[in-house]
Amino acid sequence: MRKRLLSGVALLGFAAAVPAGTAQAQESNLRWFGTVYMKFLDGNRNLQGGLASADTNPAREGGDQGQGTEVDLSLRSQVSRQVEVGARIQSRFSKNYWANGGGFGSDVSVDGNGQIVRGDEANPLSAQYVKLRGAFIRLTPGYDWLDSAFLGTNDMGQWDPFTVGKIRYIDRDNLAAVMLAGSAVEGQVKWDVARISLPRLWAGPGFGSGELFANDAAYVGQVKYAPSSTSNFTVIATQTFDGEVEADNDIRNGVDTRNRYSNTVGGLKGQYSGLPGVDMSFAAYYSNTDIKEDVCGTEWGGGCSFSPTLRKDADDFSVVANMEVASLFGSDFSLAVQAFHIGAEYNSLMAARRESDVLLTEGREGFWANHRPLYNAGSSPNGEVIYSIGYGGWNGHMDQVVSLATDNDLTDFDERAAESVLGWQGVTLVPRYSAGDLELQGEASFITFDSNWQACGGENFGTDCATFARNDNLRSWGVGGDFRSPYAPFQDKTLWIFALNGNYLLDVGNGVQLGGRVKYVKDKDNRVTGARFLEQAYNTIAFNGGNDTDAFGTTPAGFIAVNPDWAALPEAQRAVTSTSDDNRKADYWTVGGSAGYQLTDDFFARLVYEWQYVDLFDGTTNVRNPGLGFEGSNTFGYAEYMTGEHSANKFAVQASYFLSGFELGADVQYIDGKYSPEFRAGTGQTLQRAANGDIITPFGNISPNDVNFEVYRMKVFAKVQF
Amino acid sequence: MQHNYTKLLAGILGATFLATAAQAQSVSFSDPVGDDKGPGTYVYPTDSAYLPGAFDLTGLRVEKSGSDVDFQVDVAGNLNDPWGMGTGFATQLVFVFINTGTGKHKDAPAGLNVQLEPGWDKVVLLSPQKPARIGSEINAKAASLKDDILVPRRVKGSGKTIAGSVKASDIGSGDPSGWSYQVVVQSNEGFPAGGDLMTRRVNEFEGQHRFGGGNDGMCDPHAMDILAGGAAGGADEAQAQYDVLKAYECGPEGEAVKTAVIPMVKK
Repeated sequence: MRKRLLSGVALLGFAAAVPAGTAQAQESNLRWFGTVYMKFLDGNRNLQGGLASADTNPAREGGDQGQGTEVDLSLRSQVSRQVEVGARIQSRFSKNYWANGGGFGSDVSVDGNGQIVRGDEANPLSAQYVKLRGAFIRLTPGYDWLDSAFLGTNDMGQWDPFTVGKIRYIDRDNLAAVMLAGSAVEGQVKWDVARISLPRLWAGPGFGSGELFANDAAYVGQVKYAPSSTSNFTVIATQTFDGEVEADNDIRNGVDTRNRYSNTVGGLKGQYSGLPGVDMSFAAYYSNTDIKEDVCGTEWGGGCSFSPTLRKDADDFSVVANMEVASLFGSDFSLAVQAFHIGAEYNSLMAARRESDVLLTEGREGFWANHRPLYNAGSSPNGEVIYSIGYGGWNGHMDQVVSLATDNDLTDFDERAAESVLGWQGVTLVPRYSAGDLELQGEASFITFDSNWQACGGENFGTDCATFARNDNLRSWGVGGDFRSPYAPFQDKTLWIFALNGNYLLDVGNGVQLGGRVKYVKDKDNRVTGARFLEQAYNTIAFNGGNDTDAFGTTPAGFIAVNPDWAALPEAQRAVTSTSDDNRKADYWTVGGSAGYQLTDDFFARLVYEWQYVDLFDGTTNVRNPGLGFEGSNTFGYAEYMTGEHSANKFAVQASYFLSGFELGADVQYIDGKYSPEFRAGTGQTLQRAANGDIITPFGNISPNDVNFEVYRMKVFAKVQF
Repeated sequence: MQHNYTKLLAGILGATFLATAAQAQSVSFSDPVGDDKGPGTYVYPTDSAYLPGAFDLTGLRVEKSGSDVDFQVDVAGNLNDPWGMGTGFATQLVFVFINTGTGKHKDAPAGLNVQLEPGWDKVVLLSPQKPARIGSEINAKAASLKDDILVPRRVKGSGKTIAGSVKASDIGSGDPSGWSYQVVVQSNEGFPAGGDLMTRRVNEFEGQHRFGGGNDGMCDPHAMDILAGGAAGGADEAQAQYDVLKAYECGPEGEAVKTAVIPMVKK
């Protein structure tokens, strides 16, 4: 049994909280620990929606200003050999700025958006409240058939990113479960089963688990078998149930429930490393979605447009196979190969939403992801522009997840972002070479898509695409695109990724850590490939003063779905008559270098330079993006005209400083970018100009002049673990 | 003609000497696969971050390269970086103990709960953490050993190999092939308990982020794999490892009555 002594303060606090006579028994094994974390943001966006670079919550959009403190206090106690208990209480940043002055005040002031801007005590996001974030009881009864029973909150890190994935760090206590674990055959077989309560916040169609939610749950089980030290296999399955009350709710004889949504996922994984220098692994999964018809409607763009689930019954599979060969041409060269198929209709409600990386490829650059930086059309007042991370995106390349609920909220620009890879299929080669102080790693990936289809494989996308949530709607991946929108009604896409990363330790002084990277990404989408689909994709929109009345849904009052000047053009200037007119292609280049040095025993600093370039042509921005509803309107601001050349120079200083128990980190960036618009008329058409010379497009009248960006942003954090 | 034979013989002898001298600057050891169980009972944490074979030592190579000494430690499982350490690996923490002839320390740094026989002079820490953080932890938890704990300027993981280099002068004079070594494979713990030097604890029952199969106290060796026997990779070395790591005793409150003593090995 562990024997630990309480600190005086903790002991006094605990002793006051427990009945007399028990404090002595607890004294020997109660352990308090925690973190005080302070974050300092600064930037020239001057946003203070919340103390995080990226957040799409309307009440707490991303910010780049202010200072805040987060306190995390945990306790653990081994009550007996068989019983362990723990809990975590924590404050959260939200809008808990130091400048709140403690949040006190009763003179509540509300801004035009209904947000409390003063009198912060009345706003839970600013009141510096401390919450019970999690608690658990862990039993180890010592039975032959049961190793442990766990009750309470958990980050679900023991499962699998394709089935029940690890929960985001910020949400690590948001899920609670009952979990049992055991082993057999002298430890060669291990099993786990769990019942996880579904988080009503997001786990279900339309990002919710309906009106009756308290007993909605996911059941998961896995069996791991390791017959030898060189091979292991895992079978895993999860079943999610979301129930609702039946119409007959006569409680006198009990109330029946019906299934609103259920999701079944099964997987088989294996690994073999019995051949010298060769490691092989595979994973195969099957998912089945069963959803009641009245939950989401039957047309593309209807209910559940934003959803972590498919909208109609569907099933699909995913397969990932890996092989790594060490010492391929001598001891310094190795090669990793991955082949993968992620089914377009593979749907795992509880799959990892971020903080997992299911593919070997680097994927795309975080720099261009979801920044909606107001290139031209979107307007600042509508708020959509600030529900993003801004120009410059996230650091580094992106992680890949298979969730439809990919989530990068509450992240900062110095973190890695995740993107949904539903539908991706292809192969990745990663050669590695290491010699002394030199490391090189390359990548060559070719990716095509299981979601390459016309009208989602049917004849009319308005109904045949009804299986798929529109989510963030704008399938303009990469520049201006979104990270959780894998579906487009018409798609014929390929993606190539080539990368070379190098590190070299220059033997000068304490050693200069040099880094370099070159990356090329080629994205191409022919979109509509059959002339018979042009009419329904682009030419059947009825305009009422610019408002949609088609399958995209009714545009809310006050929203303009398309540029009225464009809607007023003669049909000959709007109609799409060639399947080549809607193609999109993008060539991305990244070139970067860095130099880091341990200036003192405690202080490390790194200088980073990155050049980002994109040559983009998107034909649909000259016409009309199929499936683009009001979210693509000028009023809403999701979509913008971005055809042309984009280039940016990013300069960064990164530093870390350590004292015993204390860590300070910093990332200060300056980004200088330019967008040079280009325009191309469709087949048989001419560019149409407004009176001021701007080009008339569906998104608005776009200036042909360059758009310049200048971004300064800073994140510094201080952390003490105790 | 005789003169030419003499020259040829001298040349062959000289070349042989130089080749031998060059080879003498490196040494390697092997360890069997599948003995990543400490004293034979330890099991991995349950979180999916801990891949099979992650703590299964299969080899150590030490080579003098110019003014540096390079260390390469092989494990049976592919390395992964689920925690974004940026070094190509995340879950491992490897201690490479070196006896250059003195063996002035018996006790391993805090958290390993082992002693080494006949002792160690230097230990190289192969950790995915930033060197400055490791340094601050050493200052706080192993200040008396500070001069003898060597942290490479950069540690990298690739495939199944964790590698790092230190200045030869920091170890001392001598030929690496003549030194004795021991490797302890542990796990990188970002939130170490008590005075542990960034090591992950072993408990009676495994948990999401803790090893199982040991004791809840600090009397059991917190070592998943070590070199044992002749360090040639023979299957018998697994049992040799279990035998030395089993030789510990715990008191009723988990206090150490007898600490496991692991031997240094030498080619």
